[in-house]
Amino acid sequence: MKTILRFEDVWKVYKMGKVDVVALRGVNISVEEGEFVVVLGPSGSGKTTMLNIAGGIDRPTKGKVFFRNLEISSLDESELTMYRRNHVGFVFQFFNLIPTLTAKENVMLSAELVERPRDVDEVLEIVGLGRRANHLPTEMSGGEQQRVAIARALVKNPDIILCDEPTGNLDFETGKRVLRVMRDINREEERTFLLVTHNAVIARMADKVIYFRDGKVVRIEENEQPAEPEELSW
Amino acid sequence: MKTLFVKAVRDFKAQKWQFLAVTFLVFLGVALFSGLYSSYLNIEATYKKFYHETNFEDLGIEFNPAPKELVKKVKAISGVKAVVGRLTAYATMDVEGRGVQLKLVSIPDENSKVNSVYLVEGVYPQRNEVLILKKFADLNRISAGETIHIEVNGKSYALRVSGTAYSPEYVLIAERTNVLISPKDYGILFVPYNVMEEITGMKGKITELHVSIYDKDFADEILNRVKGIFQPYGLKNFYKQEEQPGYKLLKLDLQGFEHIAFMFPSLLLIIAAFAVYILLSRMVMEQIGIIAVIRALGYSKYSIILHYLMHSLIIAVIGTTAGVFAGHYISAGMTSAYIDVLNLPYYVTGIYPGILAISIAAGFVTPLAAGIFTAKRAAEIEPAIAMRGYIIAYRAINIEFLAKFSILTRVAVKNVFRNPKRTLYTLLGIAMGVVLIATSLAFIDSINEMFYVQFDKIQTFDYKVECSDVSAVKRLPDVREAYPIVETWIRFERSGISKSSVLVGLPGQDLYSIYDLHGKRHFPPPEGMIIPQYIAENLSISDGEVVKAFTDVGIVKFRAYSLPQPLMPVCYANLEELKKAGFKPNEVIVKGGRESDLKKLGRVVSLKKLEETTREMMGLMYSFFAFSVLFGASLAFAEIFNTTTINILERRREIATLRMLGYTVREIAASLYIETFLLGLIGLVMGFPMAVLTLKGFEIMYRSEMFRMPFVMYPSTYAITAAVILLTLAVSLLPAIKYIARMEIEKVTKETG
Repeated sequence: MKTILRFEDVWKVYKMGKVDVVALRGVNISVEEGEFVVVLGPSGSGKTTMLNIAGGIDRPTKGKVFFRNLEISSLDESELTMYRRNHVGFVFQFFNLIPTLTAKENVMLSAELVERPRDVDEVLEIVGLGRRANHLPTEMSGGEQQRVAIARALVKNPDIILCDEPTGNLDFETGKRVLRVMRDINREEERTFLLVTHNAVIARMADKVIYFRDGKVVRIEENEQPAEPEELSW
Repeated sequence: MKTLFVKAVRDFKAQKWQFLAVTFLVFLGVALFSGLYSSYLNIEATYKKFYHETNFEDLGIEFNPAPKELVKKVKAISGVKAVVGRLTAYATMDVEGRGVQLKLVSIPDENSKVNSVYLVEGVYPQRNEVLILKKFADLNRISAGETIHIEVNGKSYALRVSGTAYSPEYVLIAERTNVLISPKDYGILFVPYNVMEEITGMKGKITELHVSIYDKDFADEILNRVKGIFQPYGLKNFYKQEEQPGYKLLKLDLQGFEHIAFMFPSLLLIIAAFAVYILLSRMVMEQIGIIAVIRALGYSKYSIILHYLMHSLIIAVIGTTAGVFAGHYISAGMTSAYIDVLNLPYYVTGIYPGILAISIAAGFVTPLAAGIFTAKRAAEIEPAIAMRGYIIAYRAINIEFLAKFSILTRVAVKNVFRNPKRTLYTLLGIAMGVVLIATSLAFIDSINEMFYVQFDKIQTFDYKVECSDVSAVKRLPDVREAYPIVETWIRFERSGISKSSVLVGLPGQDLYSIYDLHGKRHFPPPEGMIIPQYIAENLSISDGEVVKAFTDVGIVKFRAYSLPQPLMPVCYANLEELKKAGFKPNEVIVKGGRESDLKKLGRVVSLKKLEETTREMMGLMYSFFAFSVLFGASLAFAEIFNTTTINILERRREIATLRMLGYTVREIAASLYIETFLLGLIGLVMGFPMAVLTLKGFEIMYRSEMFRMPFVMYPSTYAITAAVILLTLAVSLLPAIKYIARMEIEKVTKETG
């Protein structure tokens, strides 16, 4: 398998007034093509900062980040935008759908960014929302909204989908359904997923688990036999 | 980008009242600018066409009776194109029991090339026939074929009206010492020369000469040569075209109209720009999370700028398109209404590409310029906010002094101070509403002030009689006071600049007083003369300087003292001083008495009638200002409604939380009212000085040589504005409260997620 994402001694320091907050301290990780990677760690451990840098919405203070052979840590603002546009899909904890657009329009918003997007209706079918396409986010449940968010990420045909606590705002059953959609897409389309969570149970379904604490990677585990989402319980 | 356009349209729909309110402001600015400015150009084009068609004079000169043959001498001067010599006289006539003044003018030949009469109906007059000014004829229901009876110097004449006409000299009727003349009470009769000879008893004589020339550059030279010819007979007055009383009055009135046509829409567009800025800034503040997501998805900063400019563009397209169309109708209506006041046979309307272009540019630039700042700010929002969320940093406010009050009261007060930006936007919205209402009402105040200054302070007499025998006036029944005065023309010339004015010689009395701009009374200096400030400034005359001036009694020298005067500034001197210089009292000002008795002594001006006439002539201006008040109030309502509802909408999460905690709609509404009224009071304090400054701007723009409007704001205007603002605030909270009552707390909470 080829490496799709690589962090080499990545540091991130935020200035909070007069205080320097070190969010990442020399992180070294790699994600392979088609892998389902779960990043696990308590709040404030640096996992979301790592995800932001991987998605090109933040830059490291020090160190290098590669997407395949492209060093994204040295890209300028507009190059990062193009990187996000062409290679990355995001799924957020709070869904972040545009409230004035329907499910289909939310997905179209993303589709219009790339030259060869996937069929919007087909993607909505994949996430099981073919019949809810013309509903506004306020007319949908949390699970449905999150599936729209997954469709929005998927429609661009991204090389990697970055998920920040995708089940954090969902109940147990809905969370499992959303994870099932992700796992299916990962397996059937060999699409890479990098999922950040503090829910240790989710780690059981990952191909690889990266443990974060105090801005550092404390452990990386390969999962020989990942569990199916339905087997999870929290 | 297609979906982002859909989002922009949905944003517009989601806040349709707010967007429509600012679009309405842009619409009004564009409509009024294109409408008013086009009508200004229409009127200008109309009178230029009329002046051209009727060969309006380039030079005019008045003198004591001189032989008619001198016309030939003038014609022989190199550069003179055409000349007409004529006789004039004043007469009176009874129309339906009402006495009206008439000016009789000997009519030029039908093919005359100077001041041709524009025949509207009937035929050119023959012996004992006259043409009559069309508007005067219409207003007094006199028609061609009718015989009228006029009186000149106590002698009656019966003249048949052969037709009605207009003349370039009387587009606006003005005399050198009187510019407020009612078209109903002052008529012009065009009389054949031989009839005028008979009426005036001046056979073979003329008292006026009107000249047209080939090249205006030689106007001064030719005028000097003409003056030289008539000097031996005694010059009474002379002028170049731009100083002709009717022409000058029309030009100055139009100048004022042009300034209003520019100022008023500009004010609206400035307010529209602020309103767009406030609306979009708040929208961006509310959509920070959404913007971050859009950026995270891969949209560039440029796309974000374009997206938020799209909102401005929607406002621009709707506001400007509707504005330009409405402007076309405003222009037609305004031109027709203005021309109706003038003595003109027709009006010209046109579509002016330049004005159209400026209107469209203003309609687009206003919202786009206001939008670009917010759009750029939106583009700077970091995509990382999509991950970590955005929390507005509120300031901690210490309000211990409110500890006794309920928590909702404290929250209300805190809200005013805790988000300075939001508070500032709200305050600006309210302050603009104050500016709109207060300045509109102040226009009405200013007109009332004008009448108060003119008729309750400066001129408090009842009648002014053209008569030199004050004892004869005093003998009349019911006359309580009577004083002789001098009222004549005066002309100053310096370094090629010429300024004419009216000279008033006053004895010590209280019926005719001098006031400055600030309402302070002045008296004629024991020696010398008070002159209008504009003359002193234009001719660089310093206080106490000895200057020369042309008058009825020849060239006089005196010390000049400049005074800024309200309304129509004139020159004032002590009557005794003027007598020493050779002037003779020619008018008597009277308190009490009866018009019918006074008429026997000479032409009478009734101050009551003059006030009525002035009010009638101000009718158009009144309607314009009444229109302003109406729009000012509705705009202020739109503006404040907009600001207040956005204020509530952007806090719906917070309000939903209060509802969830168990606070009733009534309790939340009370808290919102406290907060809103507190903001209203601060907005009023901010808005009134802004309104005074705006009014000052109008004063400067509207000021002309012949007229200086005393722009004031009465205490009642402050009170009415404050009441309207507070009422508007109260009303504009109602939809918000209705929204709170119907708020689906669960959905609002979900929106926040």
